Amino acid sequence: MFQLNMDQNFIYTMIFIIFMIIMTFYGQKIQLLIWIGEIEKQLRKLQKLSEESKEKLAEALSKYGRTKKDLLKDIEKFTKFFIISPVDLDPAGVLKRLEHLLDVSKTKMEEYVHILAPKADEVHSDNYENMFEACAALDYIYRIVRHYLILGKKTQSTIVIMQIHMQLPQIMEIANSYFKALDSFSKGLPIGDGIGPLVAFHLARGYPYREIVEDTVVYDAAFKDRKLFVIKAKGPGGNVGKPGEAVKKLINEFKKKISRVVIIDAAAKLEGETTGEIAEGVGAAIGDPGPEKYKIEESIRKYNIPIDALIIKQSLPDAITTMKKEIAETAKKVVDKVKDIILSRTKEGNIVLVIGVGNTIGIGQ
Amino acid sequence: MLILIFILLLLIPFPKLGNLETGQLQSFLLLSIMLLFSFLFVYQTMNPFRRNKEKEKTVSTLKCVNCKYTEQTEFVEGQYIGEIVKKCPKCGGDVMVQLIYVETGEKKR
Repeated sequence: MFQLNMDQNFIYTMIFIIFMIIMTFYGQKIQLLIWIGEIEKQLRKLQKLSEESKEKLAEALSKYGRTKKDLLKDIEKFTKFFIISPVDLDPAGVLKRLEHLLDVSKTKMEEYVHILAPKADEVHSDNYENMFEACAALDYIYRIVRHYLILGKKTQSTIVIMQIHMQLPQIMEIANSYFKALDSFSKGLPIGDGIGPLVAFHLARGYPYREIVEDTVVYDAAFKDRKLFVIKAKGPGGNVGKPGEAVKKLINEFKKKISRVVIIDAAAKLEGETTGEIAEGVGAAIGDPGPEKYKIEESIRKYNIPIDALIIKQSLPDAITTMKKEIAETAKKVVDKVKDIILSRTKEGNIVLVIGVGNTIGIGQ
Repeated sequence: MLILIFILLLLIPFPKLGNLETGQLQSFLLLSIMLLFSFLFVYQTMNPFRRNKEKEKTVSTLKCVNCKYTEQTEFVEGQYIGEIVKKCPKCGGDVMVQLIYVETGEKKR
C-alpha cells in the first residue's frame, strides 16, 4: 500500500491542493448533503411516530366495536382538522370570535370521538380527545418537517435546510413527548400540566362541589374563617374546563365581596431551572389561547381585586407526559403556600377565589 | 474508549509496524489521523439525536382520609387521584389515591 515510486512530497502537495479545491467549491454542497441525510433520517422517525400514534389510538378505540382498519381510515381523515384564526385587522371582539371558534372546534372533536367510539363514557371520551389531539400534533409536525425538507431540496436553499437541521433536536424532543403522552392519555394518568387541578383538589377535598360552567367545577370550601371558592376542571377525564368563565360568573355574583384571587398553573421552565420549582408573581397564570385569560383579567379589573399567581416550573415534555415525582410532590408545598397567602393577605370573613389551571386528566373531584 | 478501539482496529492489517520505513510510517499516521477525525466528526454530528433510555415506573400513593396510614402501590389502569380504593387496615376509614406519578431512573450513556 505504501510502496510509492513517485516523490512523496509531490503527492502530498497534490492531495492538499485537490482537497482545498474540493472544499472551496463543493464544501457547502457536501455540508448540505450531510444535513439533508440527517433530516431524512429523522423524518422517517417522525413518520413512524405519526403512524404508530394513529395505530395506538385505533387500538384503544377498537374495543368499542369498530375494526382497527376501519378506524384508521377515519383517524387519518380527522387528523387533518384545522382552525383558521379569526381576522385581527379589526381587533374589536377578536377574543369573542376566537372563543366561538375554539368552542366549535371542541364540539367537532367530541363529534369525531363519538363517531370513532360511540359507546365510550364521558371520562374515556375526554381522554380519547386528548389522544386525538396528540396524534394530530404528531401528524402536523411530520408534515411541516417534510414540507421544509422538500422545499429546501427543491430550491437547494442552504438556509432552509440549515434551519430545520438546527431545530431538529428540539422538534424530535417535542414529537417524542407527544408520542409518550399517548400512553398517559390512554391510561388516564395525570400529566405534569395537571399540577394546578391537583393543588385545587388537595386544598378543597371533601367539600361540596358543583359544575359551575361546562367541564368546570367549583368547591364551596373554607379555611380559617375565610370562604374559599376553589375552581378546577372536571375530572378525571382529560379536560381543561373554562376557568375564566367560572371566575367571571363568580365575580359577577359576589362582586367586591371577593377580596383576593389566587391562581395556580404549570409554567415553562428555562433550561437550568429545577423541575417542580415554585415561583410567585401576579397576573392571570393561564396558558390558553386568550379568551379565558381575558375573562379573568377583565373580571378582576372591574372590581379591583388583587391576584396572586403561583407557577410550578416544568419543561414542555414534562407538562404533557405522566406527572413526574418531583412535580407531584410539590402539590403539598403549593397547598401550604396558598394557605400562607390566604392567611397573610386576607381577613376573617373574606371570600377568596382559588383557581387550579390545567388538564385534570387522572384527577377526580 | 472509542478512540482506543479505533486504533486497535487500524493496527490489525499492520502487524509489523516496526518494519515500516519512515515515509511509510508517516503515511500510516496521516491516514490514521484522517480516518479518526472523520469518524469523530460523524459520531459528533449524530450526537444531538441520541436519547437517554429511561426506566420508568408509575406509582400510586394511597392515603387513609382519617388516619396517617399511607401505602405505595403500582398504578392500576383506571385508577385516578381522589378515587376511594379500599378500607384502611388500621382504622377502617376510606383509603384514597392521593398521588399518581412516574419515577424515572435515567440510564447512564
